[in-house]
Amino acid sequence: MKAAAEREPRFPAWLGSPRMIAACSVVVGIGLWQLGYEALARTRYFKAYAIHHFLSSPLQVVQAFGELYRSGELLRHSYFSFLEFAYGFLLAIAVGIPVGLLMATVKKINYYLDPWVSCLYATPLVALAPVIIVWFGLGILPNSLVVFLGAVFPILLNTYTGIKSVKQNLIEVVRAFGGSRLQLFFKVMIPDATPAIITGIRLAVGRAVISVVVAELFGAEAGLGFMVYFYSQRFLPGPVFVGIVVLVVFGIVSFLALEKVQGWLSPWYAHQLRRAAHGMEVEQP
Amino acid sequence: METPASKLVVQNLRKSFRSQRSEGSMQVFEGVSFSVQPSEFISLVGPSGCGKTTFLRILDGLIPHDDGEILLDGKTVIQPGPDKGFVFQDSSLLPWRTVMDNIILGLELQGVDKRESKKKAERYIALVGLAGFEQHYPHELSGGMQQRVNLARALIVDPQVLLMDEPFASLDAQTREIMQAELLKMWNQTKKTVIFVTHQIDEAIFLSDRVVVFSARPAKIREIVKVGIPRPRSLTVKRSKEFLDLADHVWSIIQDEVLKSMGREREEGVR
Amino acid sequence: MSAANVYRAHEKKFDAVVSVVLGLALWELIDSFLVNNPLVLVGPSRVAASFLSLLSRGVLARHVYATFTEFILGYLVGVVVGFGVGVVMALSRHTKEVLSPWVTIWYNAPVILLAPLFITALGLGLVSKMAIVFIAAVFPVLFNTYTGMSTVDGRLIEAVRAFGGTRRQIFFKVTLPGALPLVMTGLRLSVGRALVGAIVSEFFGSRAGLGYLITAASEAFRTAEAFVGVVLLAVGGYATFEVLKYAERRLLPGTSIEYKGFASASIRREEMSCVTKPCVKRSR
Repeated sequence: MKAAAEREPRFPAWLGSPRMIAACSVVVGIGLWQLGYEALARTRYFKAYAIHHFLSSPLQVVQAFGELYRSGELLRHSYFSFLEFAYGFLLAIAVGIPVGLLMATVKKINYYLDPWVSCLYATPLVALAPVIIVWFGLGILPNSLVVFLGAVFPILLNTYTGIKSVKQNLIEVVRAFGGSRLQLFFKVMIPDATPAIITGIRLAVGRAVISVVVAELFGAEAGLGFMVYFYSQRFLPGPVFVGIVVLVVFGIVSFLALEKVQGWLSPWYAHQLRRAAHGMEVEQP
Repeated sequence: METPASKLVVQNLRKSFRSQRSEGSMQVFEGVSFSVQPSEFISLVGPSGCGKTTFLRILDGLIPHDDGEILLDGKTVIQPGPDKGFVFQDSSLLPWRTVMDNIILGLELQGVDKRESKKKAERYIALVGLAGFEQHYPHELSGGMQQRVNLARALIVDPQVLLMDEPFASLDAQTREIMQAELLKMWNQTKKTVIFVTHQIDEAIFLSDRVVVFSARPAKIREIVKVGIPRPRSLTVKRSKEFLDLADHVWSIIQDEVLKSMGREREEGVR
Repeated sequence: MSAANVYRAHEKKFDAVVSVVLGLALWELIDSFLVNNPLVLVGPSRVAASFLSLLSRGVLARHVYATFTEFILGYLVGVVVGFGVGVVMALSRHTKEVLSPWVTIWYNAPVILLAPLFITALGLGLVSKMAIVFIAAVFPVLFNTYTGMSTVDGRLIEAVRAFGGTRRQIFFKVTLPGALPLVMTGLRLSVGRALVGAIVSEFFGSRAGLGYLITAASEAFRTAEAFVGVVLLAVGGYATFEVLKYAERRLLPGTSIEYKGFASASIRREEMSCVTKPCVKRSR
């Protein structure tokens, strides 16, 4: 045992670190994709199945990115998508949290809204996108409405559950010291539910991103969803991958940012939280 | 019946819970009466599940009772308030607040000025031996230290009576002994009236002037055992003959009750 | 019992019925008196009429069948693959380290954007949709399986090892059952994503399916028909949730899954972490 502990590692430690392996995995994966594409391009299947109509090599994706960036197209589309996302998402937060709070604190409101909320939560609401576009026409606002519908229910439900599962003993403490209901709400329920509410917001990001894209499929003259659809109809897969990459980066960055917010608002919470090995949490339905 | 000097008087207290399954109700306790003198340290012991904790919560006004009366300084107890300090069993500290902010919670809820309460808190932080930990969060503290915060939080509102619900139950044996000794020291300094619920017989005898022994459900008072061991007591008292005899006596009552209730449970189980 | 008692005992159900009836009635009244324009708003009666008409023409069965096949086939393949890869990742540290960046990327990717490419490659029919549903469904199952298995309480594993359990026994008697609650969560999460995948890939291009019905109807301003599609999706999503919830209750008696009063939305708080992994307190 002693010998094992004292033995010099053959490689510097950072070479075998998970982060290093992850980076290598990504680089090697992209390399294999490029090589595979090149190899495929030399076979007769490439022409026969028109593979370049739906598959790009990483180099082509980078090239497409450069072109879209230089022409200003990418920024314009991203800008529109981001506006729709921001409007819809902020509205979802502004509606979801108060309604969730009301449902958790007023029994009657819960009883009356529950059937609707339960049903709408289980419905893939992006299916409403075509109808909403028909109702409200083209533009940023109807698309934001689709985003709102996609994002509001996870926020609402997590707020509700957060308040409902405030620990009984903490409630009792405030009661024992003669605290009022208002004090109970602001000094215990809100702080205790904050991590759950932020989890709801984090879950909503993914849904909202999908909603933006789907809404733009129908009613848009700009936006990343529009861009993807436009080029896919012209059998140019490069820009499609560019759109996906931009949205993946956006999704991961906002996820991590919200994690930071959660840690910052509720530092006490971090130690209770189980984390999966690669820094994500188990998603909550 | 009681002398007017009694701090806390409990008369004929009765409580039953509505049963979830059947139509009937479950009697928790009935006909419980006793009185507590100012600055007296009283412990409540009894077989597990006899309703000691429920009883304490009723004394605080957290749970309503069915019948009987509770008088604190001659006034009927109807609701919880700063005249009673409650020390909870588990760590019921607000995890998002520092030690300091947890301790001043009671004052804050009463609307006391923040700077004033912080100044007051310094004294209690020193009293429970937490100086230097003011800015720590509960999860950074050990179980024993969390219970010190719990205690300071109850003491700072300057209650007429301190109600303690198995405060040391989740601590390890060594920490528990240390906390018992410290509690006696603090009690000596503050001269509060204390009602202390525990399932540890030695803890009850070591701390108390009198030990109230409850019967199995429906709980009644089986006996009130007077502890004549002179104060101040040190932990070595626990090995004295007087102490062990008292412990034996209390244990024999409880054993009797436990056996009775086990017999009843077996019957209920068959049914 | 008096009427008041009956009401109190079933207050929640009673209020739910009242709420639904009132909501539908209001919707109908606004439709027929305030708006009265089937292009803009369709009340429940118009949706019902449209439903019956689609049903009698046999159109509806065709669309439901198409979406259902895409959904169920893609979902099942996704569950099997996701579970398998999740198990391998939990058992082999190297596999996990190599795959985890890709899982993170795909888990966060709006995979439905691949739909047009899949349709170009695999055609307008079933296979392209199935592939999208598969990609949408596989990652939540994979991720939750992996997390569930790698966070099983170490003390349980130690207990089985102390009794001389083999690796195989540990896997089947501790790790797998211990991971089951999270695996079920993954299954539930995948349903939503898979349904969205099916519908949206139909939006991109298809000849049948509820997504096709919804786009075709709304483009032709037959709003009632589009609503029939949406309502059917709601029913389908709800039903799948209920089935999984039932399975969860049967498979995992006594696990602390809180449904907290919501009929379909089951939410497990992150506090659960303390159940499967002991929270270590730092002491000074």
